[in-house]
Amino acid sequence: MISKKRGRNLLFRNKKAISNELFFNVFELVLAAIVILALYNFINSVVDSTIFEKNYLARDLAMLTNTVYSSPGDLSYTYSETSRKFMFIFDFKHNSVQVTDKSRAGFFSSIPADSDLPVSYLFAENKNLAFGPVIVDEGLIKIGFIKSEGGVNVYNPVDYAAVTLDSKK
Amino acid sequence: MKKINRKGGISEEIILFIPKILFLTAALFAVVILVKVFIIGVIDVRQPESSILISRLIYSKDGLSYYDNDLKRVYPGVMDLKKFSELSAVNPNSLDTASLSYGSDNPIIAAKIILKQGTGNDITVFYNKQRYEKWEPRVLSTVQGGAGSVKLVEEKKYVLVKNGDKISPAVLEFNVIG
Repeated sequence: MISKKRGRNLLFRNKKAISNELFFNVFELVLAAIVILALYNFINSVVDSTIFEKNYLARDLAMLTNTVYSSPGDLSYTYSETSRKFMFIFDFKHNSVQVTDKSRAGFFSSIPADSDLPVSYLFAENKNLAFGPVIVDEGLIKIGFIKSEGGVNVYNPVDYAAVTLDSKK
Repeated sequence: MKKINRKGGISEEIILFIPKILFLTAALFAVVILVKVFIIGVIDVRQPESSILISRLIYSKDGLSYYDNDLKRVYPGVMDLKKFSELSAVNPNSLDTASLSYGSDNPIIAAKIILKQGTGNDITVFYNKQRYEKWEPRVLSTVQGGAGSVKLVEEKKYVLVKNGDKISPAVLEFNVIG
């Protein structure tokens, strides 16, 4: 009871101390809020960016092309791109696969953010076989691979006739 | 006297505030690190990539296995000794530049393939020799900047070796660094 009274007395007597403590508590809250807001923005940017998907698809397709090349005979395979959440452009060049986010291609193209840049990954091309560089850009969910005596072809299974394949270099 | 007391009160509060701030900073750092840990940014494909390279060297027509030109078929697991010796001595870069070409520079993968025939005549073939020799010391954990920067995948395959009409058993040893 005595201590309560004493505490009350101190509380009302030492206003400067109260304001200092309040200031420190507010400072702590502001600091925590800044960090949480920065973290929230960072997580949002990670969620919005497709850099992980592009990295994954570029590696997956490059390794698949390597596997197709390793087949001892003829082979036909259809790759299902099951993410469906995003639209990608798959550019099969000589020695590399480049994946671009279709929704962001050309968007703010003058100064693209790191996450908007295309991601590419290398595969080992067999120079003794023909390989037709092709861009698969139809908002596809499937990509076809054919290996035959003539070479390795990548095509759009939906529109097989429209696929352009280079002859042997 | 009053003035001194007041000043003392403020400094005491500041001193008490320091551990609070330190604790808050540590807690916030812990949250940031925890969030960072759960975000996967790197996809490590060195292991499957090495396995694919090994498979490609064994199964592909332009790999190390014997290819019958008349039948137009490859015999996976049957090593062509002539092809192997040529790759080892005469044309060591033919795998890099022709059948498994990553372009002018290959920063992805390198390999050393040893054909052990049991007679002591081991034949060694390199794939991307320049990089292999550069990366090989970095496989060791004792080398600075070594551990984790490159990964060694070792695999042994029991194969047959075709030397003309003669076929004999052998071991094919792969040391792939990626």
